[in-house]
Amino acid sequence: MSQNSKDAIDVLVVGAGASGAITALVLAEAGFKVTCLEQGDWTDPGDYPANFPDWELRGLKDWNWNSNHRGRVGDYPIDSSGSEVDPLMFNGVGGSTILWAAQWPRMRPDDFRVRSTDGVADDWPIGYDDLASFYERAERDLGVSGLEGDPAYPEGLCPPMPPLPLNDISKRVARAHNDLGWHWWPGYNAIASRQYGALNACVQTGTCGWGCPNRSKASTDLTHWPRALELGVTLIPKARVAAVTTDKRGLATGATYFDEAGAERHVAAKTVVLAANGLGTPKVLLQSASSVFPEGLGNSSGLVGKRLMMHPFATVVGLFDEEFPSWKAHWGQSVQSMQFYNSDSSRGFVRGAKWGLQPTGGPLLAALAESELGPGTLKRVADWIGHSVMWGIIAEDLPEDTNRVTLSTTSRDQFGLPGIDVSYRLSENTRRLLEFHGARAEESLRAAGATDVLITSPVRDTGWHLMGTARMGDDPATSVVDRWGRCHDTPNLFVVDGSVFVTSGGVNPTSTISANAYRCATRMVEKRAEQVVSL
Amino acid sequence: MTDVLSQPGPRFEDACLKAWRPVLLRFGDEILPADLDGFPTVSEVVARGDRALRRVVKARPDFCQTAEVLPRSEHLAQLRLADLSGEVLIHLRQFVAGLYFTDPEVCRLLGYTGQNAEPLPDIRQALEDLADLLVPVFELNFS
Repeated sequence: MSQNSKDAIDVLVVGAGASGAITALVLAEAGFKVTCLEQGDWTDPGDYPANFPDWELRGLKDWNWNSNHRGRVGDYPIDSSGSEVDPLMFNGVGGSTILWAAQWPRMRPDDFRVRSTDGVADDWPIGYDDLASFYERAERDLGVSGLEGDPAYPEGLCPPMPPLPLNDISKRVARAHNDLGWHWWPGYNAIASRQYGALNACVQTGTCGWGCPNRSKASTDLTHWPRALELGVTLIPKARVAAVTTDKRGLATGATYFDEAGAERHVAAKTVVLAANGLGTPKVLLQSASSVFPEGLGNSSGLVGKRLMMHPFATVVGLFDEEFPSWKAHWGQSVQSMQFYNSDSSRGFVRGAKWGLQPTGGPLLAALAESELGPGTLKRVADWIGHSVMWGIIAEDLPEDTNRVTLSTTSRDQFGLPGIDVSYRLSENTRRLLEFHGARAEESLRAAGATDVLITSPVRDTGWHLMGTARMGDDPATSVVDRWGRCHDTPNLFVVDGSVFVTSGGVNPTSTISANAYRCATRMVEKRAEQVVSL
Repeated sequence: MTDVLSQPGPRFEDACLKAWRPVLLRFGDEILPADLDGFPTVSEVVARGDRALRRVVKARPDFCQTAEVLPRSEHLAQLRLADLSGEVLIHLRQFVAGLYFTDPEVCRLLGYTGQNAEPLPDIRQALEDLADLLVPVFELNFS
């Protein structure tokens, strides 16, 4: 079934996660007629694993971060055998905010100027100041808790809710940093420290990463979609986009998709926005190859799918003699440290990493933290449960053309669309960075009294942060979209997700993805009269 | 057995457990040795009855799909753990660990009380505590 061109909507958004929800909401507020296609479905917080005592076991299947293990209706095959990190995501209304840890650090001003400051990678065409007001709106709309005054950031970072209280072990680590003369700050989290809009105050079940049953963690199914639907946005779940369609001039005309029953349909749209994450967006662009764009849509630079960045992640777990409820508290970050975030060439690498302090989960997670069960597993779990806390290290990885996403020639989804292959290798710079930060984090935890420290670096199943595969830039020869997310080759096609990142920063990216989506959508509204369309 | 397992119904769970039980008894203690004093063995947890096993397969109905391809009980004595591979081995490890670490006695011995809801402490007091704790951070001249 195909819509007639006279039925064309104003904007078609592909993907209902953070950036898609934000874009749909901003455009709907301005009176645009918007439809969103989402390949996954709605989730019910009543189904989240934390509602059940065997939450960890459920989390290994239907709520697994790795879509290959999960195999839900919205998932597609991903071959990561050529990657040192497994990409993770959730496909559904709310996208990966359903299963995220909700850590919300902003990028810092120097993160946008890596070429200028360190002579590597590229500068962004935009800077921190361009995003500042949009960070603020994102923090208001999602609901972020935190404390103003952090010396690691420019003035003006003032989250709308107070920080989540620190538990005893977090205070202990904070005091250790005070003794070491190292930076720390109460964590920024999109988790409610009090009743806030659609969010209830956190009750510390510590299961944020598997969905919050108490609706305390911001996810756009709670924070954005209800309002967007009220404003008339049409959201079609279980709709797998096959391709963005184009006319002879190369302008977007809408998208074809497969509905729940497997029927192929077309939505005609004046403008198309891709918000399908750093894997899904290049997948759609590459699937949209045509006689006009034989190498894929938006790919005249040859960069679609390249420069994949995933923030290789290390865990540094401190084991303490004392007993404390190591599985409790929110699963965001209680404490954030930027002590070693700045570049220092004397360390033998450039760029840095943010550390976030977290609880360590239940016994099954502890048991499976190492790949093999066997002799010693039970002792490790006993040492871990009630005695551990963890620094999570987010390493800034630099863009490389060889780290990339391509369409699979061997795997297909249920509709016959290609799966994707991921090639990703850690650079020597990243390895050195992780080694340095692991050692410093061990110092931190030993200073706090840890009697043993377990470092896992990198952790394979941690590729949450999918960035760089349709980078922004001013030069069409070296970028896919411009600074406003507009595709150089197809001016009524936009990308608003993490694909557009030029470099990755060393912090969780959702705050920046969200701020940039607000910024790009606001620009679409402002420039609506000038928008070139096909129909 | 295969027909029953592929058709969820009243006998589905019974058939699933019937296939899993001997495999868990054969390999459970090897996969996860109870090498700490006072802890039950995996086979002791399995032998307590089907209640715990039912709890696991309710959480993971996909284990019952794997039950179709588990080695039959008459072949188990000759099999070694190293003979198993693929999804059978992955699910066996997860079944063993899931069964064991959700067992109430094991959780009690570990001191694990579960992910229970607990309201946040008083925010005002927490902010006052933070103000004192953060004094050294402001003295760092960090930027």
